Amino acid sequence: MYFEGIILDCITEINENRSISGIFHLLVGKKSIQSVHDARLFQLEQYYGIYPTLRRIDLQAIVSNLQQKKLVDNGSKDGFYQITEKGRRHLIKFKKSPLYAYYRGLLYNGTDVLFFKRLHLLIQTYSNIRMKNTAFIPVVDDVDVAGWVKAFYKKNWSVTASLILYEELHKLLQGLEEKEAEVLVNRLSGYHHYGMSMDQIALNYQLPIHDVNLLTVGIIHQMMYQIHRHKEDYPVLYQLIRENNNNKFITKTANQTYQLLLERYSPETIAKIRKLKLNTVYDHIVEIALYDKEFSIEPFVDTKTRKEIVSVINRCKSYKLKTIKDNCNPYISYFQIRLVLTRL
Amino acid sequence: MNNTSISLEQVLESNFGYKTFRIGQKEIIMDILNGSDVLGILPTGTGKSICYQLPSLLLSGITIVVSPLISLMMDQVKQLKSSGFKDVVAINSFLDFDQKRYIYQTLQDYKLIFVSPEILQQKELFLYLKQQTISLFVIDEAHCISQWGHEFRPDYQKLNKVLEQLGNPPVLALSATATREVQQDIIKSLERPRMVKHIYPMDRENIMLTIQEVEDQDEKLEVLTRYLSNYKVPTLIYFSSKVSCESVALQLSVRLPNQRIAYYHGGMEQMDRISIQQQFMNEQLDVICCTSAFGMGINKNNIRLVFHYHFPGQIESYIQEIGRAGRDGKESLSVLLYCRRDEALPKQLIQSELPQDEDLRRVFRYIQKEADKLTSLDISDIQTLFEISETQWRFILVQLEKHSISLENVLKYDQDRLDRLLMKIQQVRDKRFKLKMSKYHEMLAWLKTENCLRKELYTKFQNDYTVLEHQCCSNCGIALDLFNPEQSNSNPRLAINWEKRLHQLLVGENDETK
Repeated sequence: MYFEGIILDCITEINENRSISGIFHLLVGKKSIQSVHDARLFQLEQYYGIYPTLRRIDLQAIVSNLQQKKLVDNGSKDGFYQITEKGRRHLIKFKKSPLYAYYRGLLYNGTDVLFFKRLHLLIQTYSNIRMKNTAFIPVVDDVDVAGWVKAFYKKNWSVTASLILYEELHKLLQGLEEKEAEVLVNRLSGYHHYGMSMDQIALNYQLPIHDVNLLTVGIIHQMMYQIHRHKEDYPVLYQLIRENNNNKFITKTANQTYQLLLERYSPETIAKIRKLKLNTVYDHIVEIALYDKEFSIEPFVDTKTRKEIVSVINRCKSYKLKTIKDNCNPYISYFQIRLVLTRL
Repeated sequence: MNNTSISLEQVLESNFGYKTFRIGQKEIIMDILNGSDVLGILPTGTGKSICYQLPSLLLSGITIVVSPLISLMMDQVKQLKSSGFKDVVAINSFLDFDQKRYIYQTLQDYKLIFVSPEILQQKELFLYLKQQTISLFVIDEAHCISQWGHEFRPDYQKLNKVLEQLGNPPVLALSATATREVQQDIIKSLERPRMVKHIYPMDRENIMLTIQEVEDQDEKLEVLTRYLSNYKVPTLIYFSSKVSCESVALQLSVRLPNQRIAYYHGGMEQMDRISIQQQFMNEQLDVICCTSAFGMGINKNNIRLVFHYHFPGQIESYIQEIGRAGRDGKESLSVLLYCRRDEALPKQLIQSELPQDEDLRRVFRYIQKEADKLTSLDISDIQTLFEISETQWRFILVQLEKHSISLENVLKYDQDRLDRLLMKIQQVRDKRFKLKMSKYHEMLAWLKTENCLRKELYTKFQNDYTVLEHQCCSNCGIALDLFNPEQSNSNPRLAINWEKRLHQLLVGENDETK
């Protein structure tokens, strides 16, 4: 139901501009300029990266099923689809579910997983330590998260710590639907209790496994959003989202380039230091610009050049690099055009 | 000699609370104390760990124990500490930076140090270890060294280098399941040709072995349902495919509302795997449908029933899997559901574990083409790019490493050299395929024997086995009506309101275990 709704929404917005691969890359959150761009272009930012473990064959199977149920039609080419009237009615129903409004994919991509893991391990830790049990098998097997929880615990220890955590969570979860809160809480582990797996949730609530995945992500996004909005109400939980490593977002190699940029090396010098082609360094810079809104593209594209590129885009009504390049002043490079595109 | 043995028993009693040694323990310990390298093959549940815990108390320096699983390590440390053995620590990736550094700087204060094979590859720990006197280097689950074994871990093959750099301390390699072949592999890989071997019988007298022939999958379901309506005891059901593992678990849940059934396989996310495993340990589950991914490090001693929905591809896997039953020594039952139509399955499985020619060629072409960019690629990207399975990919990686090619310096190799390498890898693969097939045929032959199943199973590994008069195997005849394991009286899972659960976890009195 949820998964179908999301796919229908994607097909509606994208229409025949992208194949099913485009939808796949959007949902798994492919770290490519194209995918982030698509998300913006078709106003599907909320779905970007909400299903990182999705497999291509599963998406294909669901779409084929949608086709059988006559909710979508084949497009003009293989792999392209259109929504049908019946599909639209189906989509309207989905859009009425509270979950639909929860997704903030592009905003929370990457940090949502971190929040989820921290939350689980934190609750398991507090629940055990409260019962004076310090040796338990952590449900989250992640060094960074374990380190974070330990540091957090040291800093926030008090007799009433677990009570405060309880109160904050209780308040936050009350804002969700009953079933949503249940799904979240049933997965939690604690003292002498291990929470349900996703498959167990699926069985218990008679949901397809895809929907359990998507439901969980939606709930997490909504929780994060509410915590952000009402920081003062959630002083403990706010710390779970405040301290996160933003650099996880971009690839490791782009991050290395980023660090060198921060030390004010030029792209040419960075290419030499890192023994990379200049174009690879350019790719990195575009990637950084895409994910880091604060990153200034000014050193690479002056205002005049930027204005020219924007006006060409508006005039040609196209995002195609080649088209833009052909209509610009020849001194403007592809690199500059791509950078400007990240700021649209 | 006499003096030593008297005092050894005293040490045993005063530190571990046992009056006498169990089979093999004392012999192994005495060889260790004499400074020999020892290979100990002891059946599970017979107290392998005493073999190094006791010497660690008597030896002047530090005893290092390499263990493949963090959960195993943590369990052991916890047990030792609660029994008063304080100078023990586990170094693994769960420690944060400060803790690690503290432990590294105080290494000399510990008698027993558990480490994961991965962490031994880290330079920092190594520098500190080198300054210490290592009296004994223990390798637990040593069969992980062997590529022919069913639980091969690449980092275990690097242990010979570790030993060399630590100044070649005496070695104790321990395992519960190692054929002669695997034993040879262990000795060879560790480069200790003079290791003293202590091989003890692996046959488990408290497990009845049965093979039940069925017509088809429906009949398997019937049989399982029948058994599980009679017995509500901790149960494992092994499958060779994830798909049937999931679907049978669901079908059984419908048929047996009184049993709490879940499934477990390697395709699940890690958090879910830990949850399911711990639910079973914690008696929140009765039955687990699983693939061979489940089990290593499972220290649950009251598993009573082990089914094989599909028969495993080799006898070693079978022995290890049934060996999870009855670790407390109480009577347990193993049921292998044999269906003639399953015979093609293992071959497909073996094939899917090894990379095909096309996969290899694609990877090689890619490595060559993208060589200048490879630093920027996460290695696992190649795996997903070509949709190569994890086992296939691991095989390729190990082979590349073995020929000391790392992806970073592949640029330096010309076409010729790469071609030769590709051929070599293909040869290794073909050899492995043949070996696995011969193991499969061995398994098949055992399934069809009309002799005593225990005899045919164990004499492959050891010269002798214990002859049982009663409750031996389905070929000798067993009386199921005499099998009366203690039944668990748990209630089926009750859905619980989230507010109540949250309260229970963080505020209220815990009543989960009642």
